[in-house]
Amino acid sequence: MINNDLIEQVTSLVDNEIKDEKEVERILLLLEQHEYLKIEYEVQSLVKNTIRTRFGTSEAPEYLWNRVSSELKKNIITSPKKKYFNLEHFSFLLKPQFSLPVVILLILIYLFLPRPNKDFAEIIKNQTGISNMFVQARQNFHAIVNGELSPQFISNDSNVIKKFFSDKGVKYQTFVPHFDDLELIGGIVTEQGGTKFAHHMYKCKNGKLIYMYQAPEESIKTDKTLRLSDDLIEWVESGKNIACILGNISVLIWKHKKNYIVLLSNEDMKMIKARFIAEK
Amino acid sequence: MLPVIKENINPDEQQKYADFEKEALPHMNALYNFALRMTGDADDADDLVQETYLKAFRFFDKFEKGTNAKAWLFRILKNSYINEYRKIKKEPSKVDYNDIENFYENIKSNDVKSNHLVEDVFNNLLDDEISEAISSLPEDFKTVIILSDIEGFTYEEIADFVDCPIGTVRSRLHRARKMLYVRLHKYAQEKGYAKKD
Repeated sequence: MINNDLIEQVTSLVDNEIKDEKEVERILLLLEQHEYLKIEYEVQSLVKNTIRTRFGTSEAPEYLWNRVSSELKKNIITSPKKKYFNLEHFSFLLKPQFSLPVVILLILIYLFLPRPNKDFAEIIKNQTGISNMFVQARQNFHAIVNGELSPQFISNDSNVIKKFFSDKGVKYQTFVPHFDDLELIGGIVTEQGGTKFAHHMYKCKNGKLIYMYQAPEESIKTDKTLRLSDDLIEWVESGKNIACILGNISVLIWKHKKNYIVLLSNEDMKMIKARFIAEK
Repeated sequence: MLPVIKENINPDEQQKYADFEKEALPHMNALYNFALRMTGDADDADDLVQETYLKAFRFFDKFEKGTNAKAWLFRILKNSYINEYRKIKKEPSKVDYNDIENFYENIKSNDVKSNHLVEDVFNNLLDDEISEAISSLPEDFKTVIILSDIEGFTYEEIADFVDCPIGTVRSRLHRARKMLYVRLHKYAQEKGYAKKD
């Protein structure tokens, strides 16, 4: 009769997981005594060795090394150099005649010190995951700038672009504003989880690019086809400052009617804000 | 020239990046291989590896230096895989383990009795056929086989990774090897390297 417990001890032996030499000797003796255990040992060793030596492993492609390295560098938290002050300069505050005023002063400082607010840039940097709208927008923007992603449809007419979105299955009302000093380049429709999403781009007179990705509220908050972190949603909906500069990229996130919009650009933030914040 | 907010890189962060580069980046090939086997798609594997590294970097302060960085990275990758990728991927068709068991017992004893324990037969198989046999395993079994036989993780590390007792890891490995043996034997039969049973 086959004893499964013994067979699994054979598995441990094959994997060199038995550290007690006496135990190893005991199992080796069992292998000699029981043909079925010996066969089990040989079969498992054969399969293990075949996999170890013949399994075709692939090396991570070079572009992935570059991509990971570049993304990591973007995530290095940048902060001003620390400034140190010498406590000895304040040692007079430790004298008894100062003790009560110091305590009162500390209490007042505690009460009136503004509580640290979360920084929008920090919230943005914490967006992760392939289904995250900001992460997707950032990847798309870099792909467009590097010439790896082109518009599927080219037009400088905002109504024509809107019609393209609708023809391609975008079910929500899209927001494609027109600006006299920005050239509308074209649009892209992507699909995720069965929903179509609209993207469009502008070219500035100086050649800089503005990219907009918009998604309906329900895709983010209800069916969660796309994600944004809860703190970012809360931030955007509270109407706080929704602009920041990451590296040399201007980022703007806001809600227009029922759409969340992520805008990325290598153009000056002032110029972006003047157009899009005013427009919204 | 774009107006850019001037930022000074914190020296602590610079050191963190240097340490991370040294500890974590050398495991990219292993992570990529595992991601590729689990997702079955090169683009998904790229994204999964990238996401793993970004998360790992963010939590690198929590990594205990001197412990197994590879196992730590694999755990992060697993969580991303479960949360983001597994739900959209089709599971391989379910196998009837009793059928495997019967077939296994049959061919195992025949092969051994006929004194050619398919070693030569397996040598004739293509590497792609071996990869395909592994890919066809149900996910739980594929995971332990890759971690143990390809990546060289210990039972304890695998148990931590798959979040189950060591006994379960051992049992899955045993069963996975049986399934692979049967699958490889069938390939060999189809190619005429092994006798039909």
